[in-house]
Amino acid sequence: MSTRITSGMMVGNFNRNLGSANERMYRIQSQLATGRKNVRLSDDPVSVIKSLNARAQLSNISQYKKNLEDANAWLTQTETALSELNDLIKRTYELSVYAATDTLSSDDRDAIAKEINELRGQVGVLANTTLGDRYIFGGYNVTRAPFDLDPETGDMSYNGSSMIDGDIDWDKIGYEISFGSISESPDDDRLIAFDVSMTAGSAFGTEENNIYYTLSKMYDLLSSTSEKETFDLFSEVNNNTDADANTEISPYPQILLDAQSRVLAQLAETGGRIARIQMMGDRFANDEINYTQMQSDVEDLDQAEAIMWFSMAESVYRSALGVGGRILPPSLMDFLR
Amino acid sequence: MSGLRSTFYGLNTANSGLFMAQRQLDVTGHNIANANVKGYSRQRYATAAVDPAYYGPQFASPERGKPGQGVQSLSLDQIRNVFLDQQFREQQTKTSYWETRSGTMYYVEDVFNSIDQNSLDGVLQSFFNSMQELSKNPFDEAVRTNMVSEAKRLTSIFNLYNDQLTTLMAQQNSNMVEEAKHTNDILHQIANLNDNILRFEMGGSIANDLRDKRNLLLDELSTMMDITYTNLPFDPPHYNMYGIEQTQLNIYAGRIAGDENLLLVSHKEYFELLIEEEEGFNDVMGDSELTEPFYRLYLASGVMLSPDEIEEYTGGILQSYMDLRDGDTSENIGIPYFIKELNRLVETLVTEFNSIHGAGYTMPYSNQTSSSGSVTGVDFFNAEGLTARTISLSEDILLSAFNIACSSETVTRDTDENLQTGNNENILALIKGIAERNDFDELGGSINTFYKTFLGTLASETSQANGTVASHEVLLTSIQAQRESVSGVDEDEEMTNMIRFQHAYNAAARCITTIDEMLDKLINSTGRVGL
Repeated sequence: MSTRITSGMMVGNFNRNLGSANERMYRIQSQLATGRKNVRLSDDPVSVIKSLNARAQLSNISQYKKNLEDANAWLTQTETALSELNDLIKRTYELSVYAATDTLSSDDRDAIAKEINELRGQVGVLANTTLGDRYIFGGYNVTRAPFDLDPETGDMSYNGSSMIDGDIDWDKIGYEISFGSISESPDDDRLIAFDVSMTAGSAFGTEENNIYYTLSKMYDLLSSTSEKETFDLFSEVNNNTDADANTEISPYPQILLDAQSRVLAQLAETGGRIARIQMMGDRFANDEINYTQMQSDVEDLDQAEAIMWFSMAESVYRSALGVGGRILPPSLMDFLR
Repeated sequence: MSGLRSTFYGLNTANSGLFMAQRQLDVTGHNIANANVKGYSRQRYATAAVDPAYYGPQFASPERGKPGQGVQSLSLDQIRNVFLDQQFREQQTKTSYWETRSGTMYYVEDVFNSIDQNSLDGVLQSFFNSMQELSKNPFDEAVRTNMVSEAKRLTSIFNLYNDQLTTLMAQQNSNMVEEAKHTNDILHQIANLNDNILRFEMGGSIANDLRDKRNLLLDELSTMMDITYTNLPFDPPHYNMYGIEQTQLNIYAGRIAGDENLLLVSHKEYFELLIEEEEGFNDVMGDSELTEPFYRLYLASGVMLSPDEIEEYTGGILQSYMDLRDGDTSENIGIPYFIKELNRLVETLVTEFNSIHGAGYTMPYSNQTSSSGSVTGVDFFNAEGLTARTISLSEDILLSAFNIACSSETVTRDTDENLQTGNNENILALIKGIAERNDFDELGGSINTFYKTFLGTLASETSQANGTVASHEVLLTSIQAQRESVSGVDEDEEMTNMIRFQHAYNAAARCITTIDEMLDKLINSTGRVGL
């Protein structure tokens, strides 16, 4: 049995087809206008999740990159300060070796004493190094100079406590440089992250080993002794480690070498951290490319493909119109007299 | 000897053809005139030949074969298939449910549609990033202020989402009430038409145009709600003037016909839907801010219009609005579901954030209005604001950004001890315990994955609604095409009929002319021999 097709059905069908052709064109048009593959969430629920993923990762990465930059600035400043401290100790060592020769005149000794005095003042400057408006060796105390020098006692106080007395609560600052890099310390419940600062003691020495105190004592020895005592002072010059550092200059080259190796160790560690930051930076740069690619795959429209689809939709639309134009107008009336 | 025949017998016969052709042309005109009227079914005369006139018993007649007396109309019928009507209406109920749902989900989707810096995921991310910045500069007022303003953006976007969703929810409520009133109007009209149709048809003809109107109203009623209807004889029976038993139309809510409790229309009686205010219904959302009362629909018998009380009740615009307004579980997803999910996120965020934040120490500050030392136990978010509507920052944080507790130790300003101004342990704890925590029991993972799931659900729910509408529409279109194929007026066909009836008219007229000439011959020219 053949179906009865009325003119109303033909018109209705034509309208529906034209409508769906229009809708297709509208969709592709809004895709092209926005440059987005999915104009609405419901167009592709799966890609919504992928897109959110990629966006969250990209946002994290850009934040971590900022954190890395800031950590890098902090560590680079630390590195500079430490290498200056290293130079300072090296110079002091040279002076200590020079001073340990018994042929020096008292004028020479005075000159050395003066230089050492200058150098110990410089220690204070280095210990209170700032990055912008914050002190980098103060631990959590970043807004007030952490070190106070007392030329009288030859001691240096850290955050208000005497170094020689010890009993200092050293702390250091951590940044988060990647997801999950904050963890709980196994020793206590403090949180640790990637250290950008170090405990000042590890570079400047603790208790009586603090570099300022060492220099102060050298200065005292060199500036206060008489010529006769000077002879005693230097009597057992050759690496006499048993000598009393309170009365003799001879142990100082060794003490200074120890101090230097402490600083060098911290320099090495700082250098290692900077290298790690650079490595992380490279990784993030890579990740960023990957996630941007992922986001683009999910969100961005392939223009060429969309234009192709548009042309196809357009030609469907045109042929729907063409066919409609031919089947709709004629009616039996046109053929009746 | 030939049998007797009335002189004017043929004239009457031809005349009946003439009149019939005229009436058929009238119907053709009526069909063409109504070709584009919605719900109109084409009409046709049912015709039959009139038997010959018999005088006395057949067998007594010496003559074999007498011509009939022409044509008669049995009835003016409409061409309609009741089975297709029923199929159409069932499909219509489903389609309109999903159409309404898809339409509303479009707006829900609009609330969350953008995925960018200004949507919840972007704002959350900026908020987390502002915490990272603060972890590096805990003493810096500008960075602290930045985190506060990011937090304000976060609270206001929750407020905004809640606002838009509750507005949509209230809209579903008022739409439902409007449509229920409209439904009552339809029921009223159908009952009136039932009465008019019976009165008309008692005279023996069929009330085609009234029936078309009633069918159209039944179509419309089926978009509103799930209905079944019966056409059964009256009790006590009604007969028309030709002794044919008449039927009455009864309409029931749901799929079970015959249940008195579900009656909507019984012939000329109609039972309006009762639109009743639901007491305490506003509290469903834990949100007593909604000013407009929520309504429920009841049948006259007191049965609630809902699948809970009517077996196998599905579909229709009314149910769709109700589901969208009330659906708050993952099995029945409506707007409240999305609000509840947001509330769940807010509650977890606020309580967990405050509990970590409260363990830290604020930074001492003094400004023109107030001053404060380093204190602990400060809330970041207002602890009372546990819903998307009420989430806000605590008064302390609004007072000063220095009240963000970044430090794990007391912070000082004026001593020569460790000031702890750079202490970022508590803000690191917040980053670890909020932004990066991925095992919130209440959220089934991290905040980010929760929001991803939330948006995923929204997207697939909308996509499902759109897809279901599309497939239902295909079915509906196909049934509609079949209906149109049976009942629709085709102009070409009517033209053909017009020509047919015109020819029939002409031929009948020619018959009359011929008989007239015969009579003329008989009367004026016969027996005039020799005149």
